[in-house]
Amino acid sequence: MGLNLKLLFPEFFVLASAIVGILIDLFLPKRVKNGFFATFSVFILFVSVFLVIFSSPFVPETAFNSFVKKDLLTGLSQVLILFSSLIAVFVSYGFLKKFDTDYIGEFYYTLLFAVFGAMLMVSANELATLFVSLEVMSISVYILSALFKKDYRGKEVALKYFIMGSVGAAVVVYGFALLYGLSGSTVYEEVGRAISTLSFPVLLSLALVISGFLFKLGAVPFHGWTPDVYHGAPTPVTLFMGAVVKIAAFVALLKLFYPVFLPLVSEWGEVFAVIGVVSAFAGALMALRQENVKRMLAYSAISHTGVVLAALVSLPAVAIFSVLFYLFAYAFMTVAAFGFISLLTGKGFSGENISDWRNLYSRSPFLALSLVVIFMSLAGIPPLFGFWAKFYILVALVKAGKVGVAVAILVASAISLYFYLRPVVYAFMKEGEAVLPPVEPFEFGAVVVTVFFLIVFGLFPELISQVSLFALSSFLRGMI
Amino acid sequence: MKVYIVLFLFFLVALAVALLVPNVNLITNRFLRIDRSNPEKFEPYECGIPKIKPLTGHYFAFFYIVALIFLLFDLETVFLFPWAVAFRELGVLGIVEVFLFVGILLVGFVYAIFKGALKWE
Repeated sequence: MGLNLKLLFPEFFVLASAIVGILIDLFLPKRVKNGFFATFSVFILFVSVFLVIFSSPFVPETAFNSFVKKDLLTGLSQVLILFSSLIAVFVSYGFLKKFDTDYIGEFYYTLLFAVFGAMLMVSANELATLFVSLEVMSISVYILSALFKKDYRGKEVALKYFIMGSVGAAVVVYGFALLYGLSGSTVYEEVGRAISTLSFPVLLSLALVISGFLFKLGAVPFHGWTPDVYHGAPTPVTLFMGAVVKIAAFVALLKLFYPVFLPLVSEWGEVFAVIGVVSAFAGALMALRQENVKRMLAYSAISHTGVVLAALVSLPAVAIFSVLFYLFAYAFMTVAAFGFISLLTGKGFSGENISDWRNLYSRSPFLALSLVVIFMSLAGIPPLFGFWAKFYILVALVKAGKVGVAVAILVASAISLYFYLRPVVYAFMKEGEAVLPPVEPFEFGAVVVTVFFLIVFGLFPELISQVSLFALSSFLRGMI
Repeated sequence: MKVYIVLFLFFLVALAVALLVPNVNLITNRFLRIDRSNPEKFEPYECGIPKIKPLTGHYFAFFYIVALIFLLFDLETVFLFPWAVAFRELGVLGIVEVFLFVGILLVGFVYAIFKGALKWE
């Protein structure tokens, strides 16, 4: 109990520096803005990684009268969020050099505001805090997608995503209002105490909250916005959406559902399993004939979301562990894939289509090889990071006796191998000339680092699984 | 608990009314209306003035920025009133918080002024 302000120091640090960024932006000439703000954001994010590492407690602690609760699960996901944002900043630096905008400063500090929202969202322990942080993150992302000059695709995306996202937020808030009505409190533990059986109001609130979260995650009945938004948004923003928003939404889902709806775990587990399997299949099947790589990766994101959701049907502790591990792998893979696309994108969105990658191997062997690593990791081929993520989820499902779900996930992954192999085929076996714009060193460095991590964590998955186990035990300790 | 169930029932009734009333009108309209439509009826001005040019051009919308800035200060007062009512109970922490809040809003206002949102041309 009590305020315990120092627990939230990393979040306050990010927020304060974003506000300082607004003021600095007003007094800088345009030509130094990109360099200055990229350095500024990298510095802030780098410092906050250390702040998060040193301030996350193993024994869960609460702040603001238990509106916020921090444990290692929060700490770990915040590190992951900050790492993905760091890569997003590196990629943005190159992207902003290639594409003109009047809002360079705005781009970087809105990114910092979105990071703040995501960080607060994973540490929220109360319905209103969760909603506000969710909106801070979402609204920042809507703004980010509309900032580029003469980019009507991006502006269309911002409007579409805004409308769809508002519907999702409204649905979530209806669910929260019902939960508050049932329990008379908005703190997770107290709400959880009031919910024991599946009465009609509980069912309604559960359905509304689940639909809202599925909206944000882009799982099947509510996946309509995903391809358009991923395709049309500027690539660094898509990277941010794909990695950070997904991590934040999934971790917030774990932190909301296990304390609040624990007595009904088998009911909503089944729901998530059905939705997960359908999403995994739908995403994989719809990605088969996409020509634009960003659109293809959007469908693959639906498929990956389905796999993660299906994992929630297994035993709670194992489910949290495997979901966390998968999120780690997914964040690294998404960041690498979209960083790679941004690296190849030149004027007029050339380099986003698969056909632009013809014979990439002869132009740049190193880039072609990192393409193989990224896409094979997304497909889940053994020595890479993506394999272990799928492996743990399948083990969790089989151990829980859900062999049918596991087999369905396996079949969907086998289908998805087809479209993950297509870019590789184009890069190595097709005749033609790849369009390769001048390589920006920072984007290149970001891609190299993430590809390196994909290989290293693929060879030594116990590095991540140990960390995930620590996070899991810390989270479970907070539930007792 | 009982109060909330009543509220919940009210919510259900309101939802039913909200879904029913507009749609009933739409459905009955479809069957009862007298359909004598001609191209002139779909013109922007039904009174007979022909439109001058196609409505695809851009037009100047400045008032929305002023409205946004107005919203900034409107919200500020919305939050300041409850603070003023509970001023004594909140004590020193309340004053610090309110100054932080106004400070953050002021940053937004400074941004608006420097970007020329209040310049009228």
